[in-house]
Amino acid sequence: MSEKIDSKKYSSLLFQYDLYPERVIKKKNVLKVFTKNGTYALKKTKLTRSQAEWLFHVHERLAYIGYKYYIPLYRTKYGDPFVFDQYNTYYLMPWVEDDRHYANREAMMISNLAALHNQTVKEQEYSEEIISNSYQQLTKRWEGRQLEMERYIESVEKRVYLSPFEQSFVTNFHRLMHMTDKARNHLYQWQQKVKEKKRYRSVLCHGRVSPGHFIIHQGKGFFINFDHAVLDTPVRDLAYFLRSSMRAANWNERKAKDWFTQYQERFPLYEEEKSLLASYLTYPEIVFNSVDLYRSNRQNWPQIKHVNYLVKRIEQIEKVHKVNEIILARDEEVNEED
Amino acid sequence: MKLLEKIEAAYGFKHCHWIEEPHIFQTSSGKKRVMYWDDRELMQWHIEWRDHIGSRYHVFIDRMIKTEINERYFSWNQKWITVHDEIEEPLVFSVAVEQWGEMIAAVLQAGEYVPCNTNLVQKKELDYTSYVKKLGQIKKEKREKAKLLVFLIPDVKKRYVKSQELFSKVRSPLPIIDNISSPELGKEVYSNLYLKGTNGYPISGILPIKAFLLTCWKTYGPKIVEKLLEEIEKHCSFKEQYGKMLLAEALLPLEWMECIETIEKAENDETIQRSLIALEEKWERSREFSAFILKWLQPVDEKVAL
Repeated sequence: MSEKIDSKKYSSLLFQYDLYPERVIKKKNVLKVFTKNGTYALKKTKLTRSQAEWLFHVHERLAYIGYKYYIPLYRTKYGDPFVFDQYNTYYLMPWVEDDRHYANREAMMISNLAALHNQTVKEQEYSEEIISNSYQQLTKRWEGRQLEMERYIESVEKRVYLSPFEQSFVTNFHRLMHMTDKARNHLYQWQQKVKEKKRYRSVLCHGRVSPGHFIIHQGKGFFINFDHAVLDTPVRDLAYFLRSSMRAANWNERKAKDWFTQYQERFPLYEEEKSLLASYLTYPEIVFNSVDLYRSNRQNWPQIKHVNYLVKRIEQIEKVHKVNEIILARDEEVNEED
Repeated sequence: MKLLEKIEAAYGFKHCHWIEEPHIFQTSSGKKRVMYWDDRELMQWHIEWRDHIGSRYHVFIDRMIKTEINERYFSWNQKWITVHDEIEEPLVFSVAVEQWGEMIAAVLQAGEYVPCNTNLVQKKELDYTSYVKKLGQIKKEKREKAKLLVFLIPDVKKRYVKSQELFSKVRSPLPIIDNISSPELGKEVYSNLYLKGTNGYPISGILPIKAFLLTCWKTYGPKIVEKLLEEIEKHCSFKEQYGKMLLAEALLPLEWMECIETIEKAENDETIQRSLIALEEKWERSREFSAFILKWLQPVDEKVAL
């Protein structure tokens, strides 16, 4: 869906790029700007100045290491990478037309993601304290969330009549609790293995790896939107990608296996990272989030939409054990080879 | 290689040709202006000062356009060259008061932040006693025709002493700013303010801002100046930070000093007469302006008591 915008609204902003818009259309959060000198993508964000500085640093870093699979930012004629107004932060990129019909989008994306991780990987100096703290913090957070859900279910079960949403949640609650236990167990495995191997590493994570943030043009794939980029374990991106891919109707185990294999070929995960990935994927945060959404109802959704949302999240999470089998099976194979 | 060819190559502009050689030229990206600098350090201060003001979406200062390799200047025939947008559309002051408020606050903030070598700062001897002395040294026949200057000495002294007293109370260091002293420097680009900077030496203190406010006061009246001061206040604590300094600048008998300088150089009676008429007008305006600033500086409860 695109919406025509009054180009005058952005004239003064684009003046800073020496661009004179002939037509501007809005496509999701991006403005497509047509000028005599070409077509551009103007992104409007809520990034703070320090977040924008970080984003710029990320782009500079990507250019420096020679990473090819991203769309660079244009600077203004004064050399600024961003334009700020009172409420928003803007940045400009070339408009790159996406080949929407490209058959194997996820495969290319996962391969380029592995390349990103490979080119930015840094082994961290081992510190048992940091590992223990990370483990404890995450465990504590998960336990806290679990407790919130238990309290919610207690309050729901006291009622005589349950709403369809509550009914769906109650039906699945024990399974979800079982998943949280499993997730904690995987996390414990991660901690034990890291302590044993005395190693951990970080990479530049894109932060929101999904097909919406990946453009395929002339047979090559490029990431956009590094607004949430962060230095973290590669598992962060991988979990985000695998989780979001499970939402797709045409998802199947075969594809998941192929993607994971492709990633591994370019950037093999450590054994302990696989445990961490399994734990991230298993923890049913996305289901708990749907409960939060229902309870706050910020979006003013009708009941039926909440139910659908919850059901889809549950279906999504049900696929996790199959993905974990793929991740951990390979793990076992590796162990056997060892 | 000619200058325009060099600019085309360095900035990536296309179809360049002079409109007003050697300053203004046309490109496929609009009109641009060349600024020539003899003093590299001065140019670098201007670059940094303007960059600190930055581009604020609704207000712009004519920052140095970067070359394709991200340089803000290049050397040419023993001078330094910077390239700017050339904006000619005049800005209607009365509809841009908010934007001016934001810009003046930004000018002051940059003046506080950007370091400046003291050798670059314009210094002018403004001691009234030296002007009294100067007045005494003017030829007798000229002085006879300019008795007004002598009659004003007691008031000049009063204004000067009060001004110095206030200056002694303001905190230092003072902001160092470009000589942004007239609304004429504001141009319009897409309904936004585009401020043309100068290539002069910077000034310590807020004399240009006082001159700016005085011009607005003369041209548009006190209400619009009051609105402008409120707008500046929205972006910085102008009253608290610069109020005393502004009053001190307003009290300084500059118009009297300027008149002495003019008469000293005057070669005919007509010039002397013209400068005396101008002095009368400026003196009265200064008095009213100082009273206005004083009133504006007083807290609301005191105003009520008055």
